[in-house]
Amino acid sequence: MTGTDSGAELARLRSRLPQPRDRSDAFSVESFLAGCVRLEDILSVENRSRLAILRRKVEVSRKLAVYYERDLRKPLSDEAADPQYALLLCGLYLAIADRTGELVSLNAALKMMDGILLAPTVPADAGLDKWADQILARTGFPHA
Amino acid sequence: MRDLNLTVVAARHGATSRAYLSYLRDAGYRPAKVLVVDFIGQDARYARLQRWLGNRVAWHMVQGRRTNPPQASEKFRALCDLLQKDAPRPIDYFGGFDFTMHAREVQSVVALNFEDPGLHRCLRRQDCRVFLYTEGGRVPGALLEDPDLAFLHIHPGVLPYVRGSDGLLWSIAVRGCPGATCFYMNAGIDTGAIIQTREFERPAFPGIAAASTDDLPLVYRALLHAYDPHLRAQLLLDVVRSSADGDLAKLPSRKQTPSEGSNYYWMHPRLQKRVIEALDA
Repeated sequence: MTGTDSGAELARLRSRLPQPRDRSDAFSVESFLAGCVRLEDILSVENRSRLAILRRKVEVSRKLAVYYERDLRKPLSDEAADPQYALLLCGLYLAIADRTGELVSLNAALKMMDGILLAPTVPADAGLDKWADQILARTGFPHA
Repeated sequence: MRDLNLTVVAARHGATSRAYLSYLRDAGYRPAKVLVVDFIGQDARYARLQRWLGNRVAWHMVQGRRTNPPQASEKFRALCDLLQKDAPRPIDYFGGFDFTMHAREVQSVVALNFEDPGLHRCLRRQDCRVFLYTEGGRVPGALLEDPDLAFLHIHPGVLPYVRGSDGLLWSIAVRGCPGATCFYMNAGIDTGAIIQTREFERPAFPGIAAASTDDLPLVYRALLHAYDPHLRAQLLLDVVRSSADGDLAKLPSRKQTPSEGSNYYWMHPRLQKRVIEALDA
C-alpha cells in the first residue's frame, strides 16, 4: 500500500483554512492550529501537550471552541472553531499517530471524523479517511 | 465457608456480579450479604411518585418491581461460550442465579441507579459497610466521601496506566495483555487507592476476527459480558486470599498521584476491530 505523505496531506488541509480568528486575552485554537506547520513543530513537547488537552476537550465536552482561557482550562464562549480547523486537527492527530503510533491520537481522529463533535461539524474528507485506513492497517499491538 | 466482611452490591442480572459470587463460593468464601439491586434506570412513574409523595414513600412503593433478564440471542450465547472456554470456571450468565447460595444474607432492593437517595439510605443502614461495586453507573461523591462506607471496585486495566473507559481493549492495545486493578473508590474516575493489580496472558479466540467482521457490536458486548468478568473475579479472589485477617475495610493500599498514569476514553469501533482481530490466534 502506498502511504499517505503526511506533509502533503496537512498542506492540503491548510490550503482551505480561512484567516484564523485571534484575541489577545485568549488561547485561539485557530491561530494555534494554523501555526502547526512542520511535523517537527507538531511533535514538540509543548505542542503535543496542547494537542493532548484539545483531544480531551474533543472527547469529553465534544466541542471545539474557537477561544479558551490562556491555560486552556475553559472555553471563553460557546463559539465553535471553524470546521476546516477541526478537520486540520483531525489531520494533526493522524500525523502524530502515523509518526509515533500513538493510538489515542488515532482514536480521537477517528471519532472526530465520525461526527463525535457537537460543534463544529467536521466535514467528510476522503483523503483523511484513506489515511486513517492506512494507519489502522499497519497498527500492531505489543506482546506482553 | 469463610465469612467475609463484605456486602456485594449485585445487579440482579449482572454478569460481573455472578462471576464474583461464583468464584468466591468455589474458593470457600461467603460475603456477609448480597444486596441484589434491580436498577430500573430513569423511570417516569417513579419520578412522579417521588414528586407527589417524597423520596421515602416513593422508594417503598417501587420495591416490589423486578427487572427482566436481558434478551440474549443464540449467536450471543455461542460467542459468550467461546469467550469463556479457557476460563478457570464457566459462569452461567443466562440461567437463573440463586443468590442465597452465595452469601450469609440476601436483600433485594429496587433503585433508579446509584444516585437514588433510597439506595443511599439502604447502604448506610447495612451492618457491613464495606461494599463491592459491580455495576450500576456512577457512584456519587456523597457516598464515596462518606468515611463510614468503603467501596471496593475492580477496574479492567492496570492503574494508574489504564484509567477510564474500554479498559479491557486499551490494556490489550497499549500494554499487550489484559489487566485488572482492585482499588478503593474515591470521587475521581479510577483514582482511588490501589490495593492490588494483575495482568493476564493475552487470550486467543479463534474465529473472533470473522465474527467481528460479521457483527462487531455483538462481539464487543460479548467480550465485556463473558470474558471481562473472569479477569475481575480472579483478581478479587487474589485480594481476598491475601487479606490475612479478612478485614476488607483496611487492606494495604497505595494512593495514586494525579500526574501519574493515563486516561483513556471509549474506543472507536474501527480501532476496537483491530484490537479484537489481534485476539484471533
